[in-house]
Amino acid sequence: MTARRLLIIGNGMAATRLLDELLARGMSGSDIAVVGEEDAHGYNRIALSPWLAGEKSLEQLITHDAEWYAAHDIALYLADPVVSVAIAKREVCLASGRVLAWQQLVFATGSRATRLSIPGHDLAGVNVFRSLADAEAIAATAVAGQRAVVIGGGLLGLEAAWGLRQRGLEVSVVHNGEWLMNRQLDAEAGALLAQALNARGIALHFGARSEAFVGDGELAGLRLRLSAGQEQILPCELAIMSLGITPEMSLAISAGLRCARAICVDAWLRSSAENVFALGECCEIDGESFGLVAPIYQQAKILADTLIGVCNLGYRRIASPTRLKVTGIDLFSAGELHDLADCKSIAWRDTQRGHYRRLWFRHHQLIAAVLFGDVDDGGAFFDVIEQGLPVADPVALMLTGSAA
Amino acid sequence: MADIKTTCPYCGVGCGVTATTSEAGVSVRGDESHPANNGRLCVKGSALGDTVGLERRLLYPQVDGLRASWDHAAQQIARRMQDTIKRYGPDAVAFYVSGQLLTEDYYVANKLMKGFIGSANIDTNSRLCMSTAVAAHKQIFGSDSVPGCYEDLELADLVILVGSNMAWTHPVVYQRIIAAKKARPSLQIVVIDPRRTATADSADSHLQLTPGSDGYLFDGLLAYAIANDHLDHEFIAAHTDGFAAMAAACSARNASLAVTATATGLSEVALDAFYAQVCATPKTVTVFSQGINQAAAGVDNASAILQCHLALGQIGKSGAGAFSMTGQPNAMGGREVGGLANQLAAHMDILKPEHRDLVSRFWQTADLAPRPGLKAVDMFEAMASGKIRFVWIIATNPLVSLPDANRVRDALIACDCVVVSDCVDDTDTLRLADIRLPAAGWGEKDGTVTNSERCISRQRAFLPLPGEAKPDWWALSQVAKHLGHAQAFDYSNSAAIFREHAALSAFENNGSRDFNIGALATCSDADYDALMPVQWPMPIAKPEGTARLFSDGHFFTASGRAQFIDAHPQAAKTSSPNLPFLLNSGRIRDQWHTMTRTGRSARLLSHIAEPFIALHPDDLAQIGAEHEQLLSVHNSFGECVVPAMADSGIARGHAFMPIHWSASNASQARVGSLVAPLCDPVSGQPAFKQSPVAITPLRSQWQGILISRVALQLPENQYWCRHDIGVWQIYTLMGARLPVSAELMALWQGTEAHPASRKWASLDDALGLRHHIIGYDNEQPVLWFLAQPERPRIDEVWLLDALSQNQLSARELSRGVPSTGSDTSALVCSCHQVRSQRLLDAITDGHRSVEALGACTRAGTNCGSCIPELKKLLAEQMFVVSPNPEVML
Repeated sequence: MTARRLLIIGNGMAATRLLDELLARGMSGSDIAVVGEEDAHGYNRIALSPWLAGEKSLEQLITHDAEWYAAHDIALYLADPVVSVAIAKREVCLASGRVLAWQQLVFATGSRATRLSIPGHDLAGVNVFRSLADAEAIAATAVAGQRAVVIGGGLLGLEAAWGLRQRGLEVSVVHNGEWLMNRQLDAEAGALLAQALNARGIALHFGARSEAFVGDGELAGLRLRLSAGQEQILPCELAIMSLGITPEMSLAISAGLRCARAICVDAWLRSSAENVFALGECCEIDGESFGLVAPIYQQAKILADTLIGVCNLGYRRIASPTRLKVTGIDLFSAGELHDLADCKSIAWRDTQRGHYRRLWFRHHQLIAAVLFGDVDDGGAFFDVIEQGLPVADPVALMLTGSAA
Repeated sequence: MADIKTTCPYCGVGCGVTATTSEAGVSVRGDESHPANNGRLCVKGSALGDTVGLERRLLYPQVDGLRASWDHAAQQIARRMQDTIKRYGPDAVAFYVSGQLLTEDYYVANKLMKGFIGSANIDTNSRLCMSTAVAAHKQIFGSDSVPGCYEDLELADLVILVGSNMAWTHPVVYQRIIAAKKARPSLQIVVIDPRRTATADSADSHLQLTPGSDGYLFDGLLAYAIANDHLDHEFIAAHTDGFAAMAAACSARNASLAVTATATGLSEVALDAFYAQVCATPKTVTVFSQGINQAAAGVDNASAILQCHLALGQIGKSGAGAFSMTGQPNAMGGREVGGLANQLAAHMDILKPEHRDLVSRFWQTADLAPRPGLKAVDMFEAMASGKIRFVWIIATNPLVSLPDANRVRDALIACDCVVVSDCVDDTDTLRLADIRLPAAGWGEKDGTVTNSERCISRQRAFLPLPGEAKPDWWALSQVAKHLGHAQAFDYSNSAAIFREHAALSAFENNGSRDFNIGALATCSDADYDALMPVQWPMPIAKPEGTARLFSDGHFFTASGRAQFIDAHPQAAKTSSPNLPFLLNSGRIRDQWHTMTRTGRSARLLSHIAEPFIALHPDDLAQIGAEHEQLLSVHNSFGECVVPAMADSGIARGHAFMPIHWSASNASQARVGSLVAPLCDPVSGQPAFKQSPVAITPLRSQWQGILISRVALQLPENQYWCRHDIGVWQIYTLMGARLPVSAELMALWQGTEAHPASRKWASLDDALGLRHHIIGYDNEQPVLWFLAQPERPRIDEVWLLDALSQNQLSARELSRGVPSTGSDTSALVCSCHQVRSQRLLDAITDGHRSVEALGACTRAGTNCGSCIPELKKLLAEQMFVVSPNPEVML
């Protein structure tokens, strides 16, 4: 039995960031073991879309390669997932049968892509787009001229759609909502985005519910139920489900950790069991779960402190703006777009350049901002939202990014 | 790249200008060798280079709306004129000309009308400006003679400025006085004006009298001089007639100072001090201008001033005299050729048979007009009533400048044929023309002008004639030829006209007439081209010219003596409960007349770009209005709608409006539409200065700026004013209901060639604060609009440049100021483009005098006309101002 002081389950971006933070705090790599489910070293998941689009190489994706782990003397177990965790014995068991002991255990198991369990979901050609392996599988089968369907008009779905389009596929996006990225955009920005995607050769279907993948062994089409009730079959040879993520907590549940939507931790990332921690997409703090990188990087710092016994203030909720960059389309969104009932908005439309920006105010406070085409002032709006101070001249703020 | 010496086309100072033409454009500087300005220029003159572009120039003749050849146009004018004469006689034809004409143009117009058409119906816009001074000079001196010269203003011990905001309207002469005072602080300046103007700021005393009471003030001075025996008995006895009768009447009217005090609204103490000062100062010059001339009893007012100088012997001597400052660059030249309806030519009198005979023989005509023609206001009234059926208007815009301007519009509409010669393609008057003739503009004209001190200078061309534009003398001669007078109008150039004019002045003169420039009658073309500025008279025996007239005590009356007359003052118009305000009018610092030229210079517009009505702050409060709020100014003649300007220099119950705005550049700001057609009975000069009006505040919910390079329909029933910079038209708007962006975009979608291609950037403001629209045609910004409840402040220079460059996004253009920040505070120094914020910063940094501010910011160091404003800023910042400001000239 191998024993190192700290064992991290998972080798995704949360885990590698935690490693960086620990090493920066002087912890020795020889005290650390990492177990990865995937057969890949540390890579930047955010860059998978540009990689799929052919805009980035594999080398550009890898952040922590084998040499790095070796150089820091970190024990790394790849393609050998943990199958059970014995909290009381302070051991984990890997699929290979290997047993690892630990004094401190970190769950960094991340999340899985949400799948539709509709008929035909197991046909060849039906994919999710989450891991490097997913991306590689898609890239291996996607052929220019093929027809592809992306289910889900959210950020990741659109990035995947653009990636496939860049590879020369005929791409359709099927979206349940009334407009694209409906959690981050208002209807007008969504319409501008749709227009821009159309112009780039991506077909869009709104208010469409996916009912079944059809095909005989191999995918041949997707059957949709349209909002008006009628049925439509989109012929396709490739499908990607991009319907969000589900925190990966099955191991934690079976280990007896308290879980809700994800593994419950406190502001210092401590789980319900002593010396057991969780961070990243697999955890939740006060009911908040995570999908964006900024809060997870914050968690990595806090957890590194916790693990070496340094006091800090703990996790504090931070909002994050959304930025989408699909070659030539700049988008920015920040604030509480789901709760604008009593807000008044101002907008700036530039049909000459296809720019749009809208700000929502409640009692002189900036609540939310959506920018399309010209995102220069996104950061400034985000700061104003976060500061929550009254805005004296909303129009000036909108036009210049400065409230002065 | 040659330097050409010419003269400025604006005010009556008549400054010499050196113009340099290069690929970069035209640059100008003051001509150091010209005696009027010795190298100085005011801000308007300095900006002349900005005004010579060919945008909005009239370049081709048009007949009945169609482009025509010059020959066809001249033929049509001649034919329509002949038809009119055949049916209604020669008095049914009129010329209305201008103090903007060169002497040669003026001479030919006058010769054609009075000598060959046979009517004296030629009058000029100098009627609105100088005819009172002309009439006063003639009745007192026997001739229209300005006795002194500019140098007298520097040599005097006391300069009285009456009815003149000289600091703004004649800045270069004003700066000469200020410079003289600096060198010799004992030189006293007294300003007499119902307004406290920029001119009053540098004066030793300001007599803020009741408007229109100047006559009482000078009548009182005569009575004081008589009562206290300050008279020059020797001069009166030797060189004047009628003193005793005049003195008796004057003394009877002015039994005590209290009488004058009541009439003028001044205290007896102030009057006593002023009168004592004048009587004790032999070297006194009284400069009078429009405040005296533009009055119902203007000739009496001006005569009272002249008579004071005669009685005190303060005339014909260096540093003493009465000095009439003319408004226009060639009002004097026009008078010399007889451009007024009651003159003949060369200062001869149309009522004198011997003069008519002399001129008939000289011109070799049998058709000389037998009697005076109609003066300007009567002339247009005769058009309205159908007596005059044909009019040719040259280089002036009577629809804006004449009183009861709405009636003038009716008059032109009633005419069978209206011919208008102008150098620009759109004026209120041009819009009513049947035939439009493209005239040469400044820089293209070649001839002579005479300034206020009788100095004849050359205006020389340094630019080619654009399109088919022609000098006015040429157009007049073409028509004369079509009328059958080829021989009398066979001029090869302006020099030939000038020689004839000079020869007529000397013809059978023998010292009987003041105007004699016989020394120039035989000048060659080369001599004419090289002519140096010279003051008339310059008879053959005295080619060096004459600085001062009447030094020998000889006057050009039948007796050779000056005439005292009973010039009894009259009360000016008064307000009434229905019309509680008396409206004054005049020029502002950086504009000239109807802005057809100065309105094209961005830097001149940056001082004041909008019409306004100035009122005392307490009056504004009393009518329930605020500074910059829209006001309706109205009486039975018309209405103007303009923003208010709070001005504590205006007396309670009075108001002031600038004269520059017309129907082509403002919705409703023609001050002339409020002025009664009431004229001085002798001079026919209208009383512009005291029009009774009512003033009512209007509610405006929004104020906006519209900048466009395409023609746009404006939202209805809104106030607007416009100025043009290059290809851009800049509108300021105010209105009761904020127009919705969508409505404006629908209105402005346009009816042009590619309406569908217009794209928009616009603000959608659910908070209801602001409306922004930017319109694009073919990816070029063509219109920019901003409206909001408060007055928008933009950096116009930056914005026009950014719109033209088209490198910024609509959002970056939308606020109208650069993102790096911009000073949009009021412009103070137009010459060096210094704004008030920069000056306030400099004051804060310790630059606490006019001199220090000038050294730090350059403000006030060129023309000096902003120095009163610099002093005001300093005073507002609670700093003591030195009594003798450094003027860096």
